[in-house]
Amino acid sequence: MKTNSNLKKLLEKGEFIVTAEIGLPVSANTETLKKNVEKIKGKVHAVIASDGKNAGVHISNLAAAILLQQHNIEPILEISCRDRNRIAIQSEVLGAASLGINNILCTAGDHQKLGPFPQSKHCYDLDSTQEIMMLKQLRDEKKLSNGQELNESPSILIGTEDNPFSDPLELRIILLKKKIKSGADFIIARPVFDTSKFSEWIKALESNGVTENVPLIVSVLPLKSKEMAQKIKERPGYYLPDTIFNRIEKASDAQAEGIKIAKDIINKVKGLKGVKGINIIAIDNEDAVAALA
Amino acid sequence: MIIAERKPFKEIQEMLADYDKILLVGCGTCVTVCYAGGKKETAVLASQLRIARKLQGKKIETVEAIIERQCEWEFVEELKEKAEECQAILSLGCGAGVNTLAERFKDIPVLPALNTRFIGIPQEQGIWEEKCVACGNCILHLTGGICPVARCSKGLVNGPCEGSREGKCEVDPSLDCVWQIIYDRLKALGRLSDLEKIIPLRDWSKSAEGGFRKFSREDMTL
Amino acid sequence: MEGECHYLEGNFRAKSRVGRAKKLLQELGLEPDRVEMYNLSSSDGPKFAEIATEMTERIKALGPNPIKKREKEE
Repeated sequence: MKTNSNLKKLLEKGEFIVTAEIGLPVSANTETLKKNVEKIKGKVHAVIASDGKNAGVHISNLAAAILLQQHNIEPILEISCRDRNRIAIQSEVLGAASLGINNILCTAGDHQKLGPFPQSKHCYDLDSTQEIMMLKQLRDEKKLSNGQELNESPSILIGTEDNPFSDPLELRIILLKKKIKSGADFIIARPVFDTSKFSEWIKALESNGVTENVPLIVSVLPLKSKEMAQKIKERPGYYLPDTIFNRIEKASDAQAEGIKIAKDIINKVKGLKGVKGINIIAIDNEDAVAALA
Repeated sequence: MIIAERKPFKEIQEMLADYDKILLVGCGTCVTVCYAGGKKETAVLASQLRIARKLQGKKIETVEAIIERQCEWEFVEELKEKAEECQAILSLGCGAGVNTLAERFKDIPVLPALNTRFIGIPQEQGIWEEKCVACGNCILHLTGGICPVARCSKGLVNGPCEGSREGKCEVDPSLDCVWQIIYDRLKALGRLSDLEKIIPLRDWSKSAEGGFRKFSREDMTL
Repeated sequence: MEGECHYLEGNFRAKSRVGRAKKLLQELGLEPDRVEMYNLSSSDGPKFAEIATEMTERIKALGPNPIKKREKEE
């Protein structure tokens, strides 16, 4: 089975990448998911198979990734540090690579207190920087984290995420540089609504040499309604300026306005240095992918 | 110090339901400082238990004793006579104290009046905060003396996570993001470069995750 | 009045302690209203009389200490 990441090839070619994130069912019935996957097929280069998004239960990241493959869509397997220790993460990556799933997105993961299972224990054996480091060693040195040698290395592309709107900026740049030094091959930035603040972040990355060699994929989250905009406004880690909120609030067709806003954002960020693609967050909004891709 | 707080009164009452003569043991060290199990708190609890029992039309006899610390055999030994007179011991010490009393007084039930919470300090009058989780692998020389293992909600050592904003933690906006605190401190010290070090995978085997912990020093054993 | 205590902080500390005493009573099953704190000046006789009357009426309504009551009946 060919195990090389197609995403890697596209990035190397310099093609502008379009990825998407779609909702995963809280059910063993994947009929709706399959329909949504068919909707976006052909419009995106890859789709993220989320891992315990919002600290909630949904079909597992690996199951989602396999389903995507079955529909000929390249998966990006998110593996967060919240629920799995180094043993589980390495096993999962070997398993994924054995199935031809070659893109791994390393994230810290949403804390369990933010979701519907606040009483559960979390893991955090590793943080995302250590996860990247561990997977790079696995791939490039054929060694597990304890030094145990493997005969073959799994073919994986290692991604990470960052938040252009988290602060302090200086610390975020230090951390991003650490992640790249540890082996991150690509960065997915959390959703942008404020392009001028985002440009500041890009400038900082540029002056620190961050995006010279590491491609940046920028997330765009099309808003559907005033209620959704309100939720996003209140969620930690997201930054929705009033100008955008007001547009959605006043719009007669919020969903259409949301697409318009997203298109504006895409046009603005596309030209920025280091931006090699967009990631459309289309959870419960899968039609938006066609409109934006 | 170890921070503990008294259990809900009803829970303590239920534990004592079968006993008519009990020894309440207070502790003069950590739990005195956090107003949970010192001399005063022991006297108040004893009084509450007597009154509550009387309200039920019954009686409970309480004997009180305060020792310097419940976590050392020498101090616990002082309780021998009083313990032998009682049907149960209600410890107002931390978990270490309760265990010590239980191991020493094998024939008498030992009950906890407190819930042990964490290793911390009285940050302000009446407010106690966690500072250390005894992970056994201190990295405070790399984080300006401020512990992310104890104080970062996710325990990240190469932090922060993507949710830190305006110095607050995404998990609880009333919580300070410890990475902001670490950053501010190291910046003020001119040591931001400490944060450029990538902290590799940790050895958790010496933390609570590794199971029951014990260590010894040959030069100190008899 | 609250905050105007001759002993400066004393009235606030007393308020905390009375609050705690109320909580302790409630925990063990006695009415917290059996203890109360009032702020007044030592020269305010009429106010004192008012408070004393109020407290007397409150206690009468609550009834005697149930323990003493039971002991008397026995």
